[in-house]
Amino acid sequence: MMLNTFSILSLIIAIPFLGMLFTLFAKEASDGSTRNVFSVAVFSVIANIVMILRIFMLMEVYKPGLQLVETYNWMQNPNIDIVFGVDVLSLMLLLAIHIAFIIGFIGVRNNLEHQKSLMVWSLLFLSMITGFFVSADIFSFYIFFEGMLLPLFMLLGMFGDVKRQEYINRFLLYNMVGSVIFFVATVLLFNYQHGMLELQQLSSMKLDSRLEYFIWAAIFISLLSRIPIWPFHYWIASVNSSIRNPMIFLISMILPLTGIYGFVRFLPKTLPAILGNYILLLQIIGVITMLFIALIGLINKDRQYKIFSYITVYYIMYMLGILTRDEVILLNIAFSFFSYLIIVASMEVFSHYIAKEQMQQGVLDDGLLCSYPKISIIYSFMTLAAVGLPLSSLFLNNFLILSDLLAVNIKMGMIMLLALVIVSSALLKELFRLRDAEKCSISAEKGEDISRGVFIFMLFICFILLMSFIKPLWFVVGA
Amino acid sequence: MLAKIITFSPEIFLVLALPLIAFVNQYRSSKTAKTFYSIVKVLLIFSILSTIIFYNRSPLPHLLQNDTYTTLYKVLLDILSLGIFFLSCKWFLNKNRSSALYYALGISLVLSLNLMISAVDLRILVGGYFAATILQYFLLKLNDDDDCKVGEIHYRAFSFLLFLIMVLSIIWFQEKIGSAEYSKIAAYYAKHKIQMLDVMAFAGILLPILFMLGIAPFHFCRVELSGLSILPVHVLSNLIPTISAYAVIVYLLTEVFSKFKEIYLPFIEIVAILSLLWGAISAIKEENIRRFFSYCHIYSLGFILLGILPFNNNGITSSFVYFTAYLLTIWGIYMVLFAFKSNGEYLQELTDISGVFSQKPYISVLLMVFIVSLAGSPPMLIFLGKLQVMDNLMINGAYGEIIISMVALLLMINAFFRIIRIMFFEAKVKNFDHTERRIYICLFINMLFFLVGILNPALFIEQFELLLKPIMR
Repeated sequence: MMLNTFSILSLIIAIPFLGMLFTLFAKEASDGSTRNVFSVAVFSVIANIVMILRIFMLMEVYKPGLQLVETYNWMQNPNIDIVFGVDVLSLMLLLAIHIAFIIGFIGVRNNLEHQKSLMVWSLLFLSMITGFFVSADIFSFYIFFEGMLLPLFMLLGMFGDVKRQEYINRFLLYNMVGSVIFFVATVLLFNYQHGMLELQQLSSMKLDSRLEYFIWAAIFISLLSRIPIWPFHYWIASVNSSIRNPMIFLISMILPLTGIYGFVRFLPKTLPAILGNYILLLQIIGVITMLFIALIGLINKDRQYKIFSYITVYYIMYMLGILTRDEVILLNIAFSFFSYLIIVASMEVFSHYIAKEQMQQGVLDDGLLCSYPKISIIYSFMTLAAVGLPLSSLFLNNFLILSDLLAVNIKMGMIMLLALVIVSSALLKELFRLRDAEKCSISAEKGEDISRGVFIFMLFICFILLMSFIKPLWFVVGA
Repeated sequence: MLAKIITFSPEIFLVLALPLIAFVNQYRSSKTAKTFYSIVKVLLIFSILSTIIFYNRSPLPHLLQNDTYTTLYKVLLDILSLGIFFLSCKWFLNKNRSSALYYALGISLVLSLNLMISAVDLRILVGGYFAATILQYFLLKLNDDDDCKVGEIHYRAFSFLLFLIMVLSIIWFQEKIGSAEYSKIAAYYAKHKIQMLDVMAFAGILLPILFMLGIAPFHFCRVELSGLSILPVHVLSNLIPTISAYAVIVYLLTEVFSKFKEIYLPFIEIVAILSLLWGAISAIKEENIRRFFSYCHIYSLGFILLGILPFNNNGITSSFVYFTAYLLTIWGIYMVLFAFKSNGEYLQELTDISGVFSQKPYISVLLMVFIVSLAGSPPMLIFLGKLQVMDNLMINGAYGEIIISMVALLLMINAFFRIIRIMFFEAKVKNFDHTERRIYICLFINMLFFLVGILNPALFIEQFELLLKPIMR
């Protein structure tokens, strides 16, 4: 039974799903061109971005708690309500993911192999992750948490390399175990509460000590199985070192976000005593993983691995920030995440483009950007924004997050800072190598730069990032 | 008298099919599978309608009784049979084989299983069981393959042995209580203490039904034969008897032998856990598609039996939700199996469907949806059943069973995803034939139910609770 007359949050889940169906039945041209499929997919994402912007207009952005709440009675025995709701954090993340998807789609627009499958599974993933970010009750949270695994599994299997069997097994092992544990915790909580459980209520629930111990262990394991932190990083690392499709790399890089976001939704404002040991352990493992991955990123010659190490280090930093349960940090993380996701998507897409050009030209990639002026501008902008220069909301918000983390634990903060410096230098080193004019082995005429349309679009993305530096919610009237 | 005859119409319609099939087979020159299917279809539809109309009328109240509970299962059984006969028709046309015997045996099987569901006397139950076993045996003999012979011998031996045990048990109840009627047995044990021989007689009734249900450790013949029998027989004998056996077992344990609860609860629990683990572990390495889904059947029934414990209202509803969702899903899978053929040959090995996605993307995606549903992944249909069963287990504090079922689930997920990998990620090894329109029609109807079930499960669950009321406390 539908209790609301107009359900804008359900609509933003439905649009990518409908887009997926339209893409599934879209006719491919007889010459093998996949323009139709591509256009339908991009249109669905743009339509959803418009809806997300509309939601920003409808809500009071700085008001705490979930807004625009929608409730549906899904089942009566057991009584399960599906509740949707958003706050500024979930909306910022959703907007960033959608923009990242458009960038990802641009990166694979000329792909001819299984283009339809790529778009269909990507849109299904987008629908699921949108549902995940608007979930406000434990059941819908679980449904979307698990629902997004199938599209990623299909993408990894269809577009993976010769080693795919190996990392698909790892992917299944880690994520399925996480999901099953989470399912048991969900039903346990539901039973304990004798009915429906909204995520907001979870923080104030009084659990008996044994149950509390199990519930938190289950939640931590299932959420951490998505985050590239030791010992759960194994599947993500193997996926990212093997996948050479920017869209799939992007999707597999968005997946850890679900684990991080889970902590935001599940952890109570005042952490229960039982969590003290978990958190300390997590902090220690977190900073060690950060440092370790950052060092590997610095040494490793593979550009994709450098991007992966950058992503991992930042994810762990955000996770440790969330564990502090400071409302100001949470808001800063939301603003920082917005730029972070867009930057990562852009860097991956252009890194892939460079690698493709390098293969086609049959040259080394040292100084390659000198022959591609448009890519050079965008890639340099993104790298500089990624390392924390005042070009996006990463600059100020990361500064605030770090200063708060340093205040919480100086040792942890220092190691984190060191890891950030290492990954930043790895990215800068890579940029200097790509822009080294002395080593450039092909002429500017030979290189096929990105089209003017894509360049203008990417300049617009740079503009969005710059504006987010000036004011994170610049696009919301009256914010 | 006339009223009694009219009340008997569901059975009469089914019986009528036999002389009609024989007559057409004998005297009509141009007869195909379609001819026999048409006869069976019309009579089965009439039977379903009259079952619904006379849902609470009983022609011989001391032997057969109808209520919403029996009607629910009978209608489910008849509709599924109709669907199987529909798809089998094309199979016989493709193979250019005579289908008269298949349809005659099939409709007789439906009749005997319906009688088992309506039975309120152990003599009718054993009669139905005997008829069903014999009919299944003859159905299995429709295969010309010599490999099948060993399986047939095993099946015949075990069925006969279990039938004898069942007869002896009934004789015991008849001698001791003076009647084999369900109500009298229940009334007797409500007043008297249960003795050792009573338990043995009860086991003699229970074991053949569990054998018919096909769960571990009584599954050996079914699995053995499922890989060898012809596809229509495999689907028919895997699905139809299960519905009847499940209906009977729930009714017997809740209404007739409820006083034996302390004895049968641990037994059912062991059988359920065994089925879960056996099904899941065996499925991992299985290479034959049909045997794979037979193991999946064992696993699912294990989950269903685990969910029904301790046979309270919650358990009955939750396991029925799982059972219905399972039937709808496995029926979808069998439909797809009817669609997978290469050069007129229906595929049997998992490797045969390698890369099927590249040639049959829509059907492959549908099969994937059904498989993901079988894995209990949200928001698919079986997830609803899984949720209800887990909720029931939590309520009963059965944490050990929860852990075991989750381990089995993980093993089964691994097995299911192996099929998806083969279909989608591996290179094509065979060219697949054109898929008939009837399969698409069936799949479309199935998906429609599937979608309604996912979007508004309350619609089904509420109705089920109402229909299951006769056995609810």
